[in-house]
Amino acid sequence: MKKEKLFAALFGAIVGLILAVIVLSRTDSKVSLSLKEEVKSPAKRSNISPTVSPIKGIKVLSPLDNSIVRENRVKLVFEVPKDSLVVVASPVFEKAVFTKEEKVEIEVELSLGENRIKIYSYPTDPTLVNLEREIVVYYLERKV
Amino acid sequence: MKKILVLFFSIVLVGNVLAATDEADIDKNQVEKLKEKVEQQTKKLKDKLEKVVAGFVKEVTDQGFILEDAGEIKVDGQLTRYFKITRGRLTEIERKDFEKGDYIFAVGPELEGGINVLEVYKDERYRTLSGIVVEVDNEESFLRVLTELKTEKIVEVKRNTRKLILTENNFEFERTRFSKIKENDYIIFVYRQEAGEEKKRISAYKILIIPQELIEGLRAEKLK
Repeated sequence: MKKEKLFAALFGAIVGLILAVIVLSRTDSKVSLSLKEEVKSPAKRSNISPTVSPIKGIKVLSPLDNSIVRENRVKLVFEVPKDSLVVVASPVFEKAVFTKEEKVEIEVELSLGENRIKIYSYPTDPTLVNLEREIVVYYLERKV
Repeated sequence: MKKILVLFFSIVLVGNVLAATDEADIDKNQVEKLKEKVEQQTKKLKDKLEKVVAGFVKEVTDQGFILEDAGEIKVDGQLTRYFKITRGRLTEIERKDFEKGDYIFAVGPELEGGINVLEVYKDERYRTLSGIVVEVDNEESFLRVLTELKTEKIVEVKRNTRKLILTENNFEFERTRFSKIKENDYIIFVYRQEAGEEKKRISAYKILIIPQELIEGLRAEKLK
C-alpha cells in the first residue's frame, strides 16, 4: 500500500514536470520567434533609427528585452557585422571593443532599477552603415 | 493561460508530495530533494512570469496610474508595495508619494493581457543617443549634434558631465576635456529624460567621444 502511494506521488511528479517542460518550451520558442520577427522587420526598426541597415541589424541573443535580473551585472550577447568597432553604453557603464567575429559577449554592470543599454556598431566595411540597438533590463534586489 | 497551467501543475505537484509524505513512510531525503526541485522550478517560473510596464505618470487615479504611451495600470490596495530608487538605493514609500510627471515602472505576474501589479518603483529615466558633432561652442560649452534619429540636439556639457574619449591604442575610454572635442567626431550622449515633449536642448549626464580619425583609421586599415 505504501509502495503504491509512493509510486502515485512520483508518477504525479513526473507527469507534472513533463507538462511544465512542454508548455515552457513552446512559450520560449514563441518569444524567440517574436524577437526574430522584430529584428527582421525593417519597417519597425526604421521608425526607431533611420541609420539601421534594412538588411541586417544588431541581433541581441541575451538577455531578453524588458527582462528582470537579480544580479547587478548581466552578460550581454549579441551579433554585429564582423570587423566592427562596438560600443556598449548606459548611464553607469561604457565599454568599447573591436570585434573580428559576429558574436560579441560583454558583461555589463547594472544600476538598481531600470537600465537602458545601448549597443552601437561602427563597421569598418564602408559599404555597411552604422547600427544601433537598445535593450532594457531591470535589476531588482530580492526583498525579504 | 499556459503559464497559469504550469503554476497549477507545480502546486498540484507539491500537494501530491506533501500528502504522500504524511502517510507513507518514504525516505525523507527523497522527499526533500523533490521539494527542492519543485521550489526551484516554481522560482524559475515566477521570474519568467514577471512582467514590467514603465512610463511617465500622466495621472494618479483611485485605481492606479495612467501612463504616457503605456495606458492604465491598476494596483491592489492590499498587496501592492511602493518603492523609490535614489542613487542606487531602495526605500519603501507610499502611494500618496507619487505625482504627475514621475517616471515609474510596475512589476507583477502577467494576468489576462495586463499585469497584476505587486510592486511600483519610482525611478529616473535616462536616454542614450548618438550622432555626429556639427558645431562646437567653446564659449557656452555646448555641442550641436546631428543624431541617429536625423534630428538636431543642442547638448550642454557642464562641469559635472562625465566626459570620456575613446583611445586609439587600447580602445579604452579615458577622461577628457571639452576643448578636445572636434567637429565631425562621433558622440554618444546620455541625459535624463523628463515627462512631456522631447526637448531640443538637453543637459548631458555623460558623453562618450569617438574621434573621427579613429573610425577613419580603422576603415583605411580594412581597405589595405
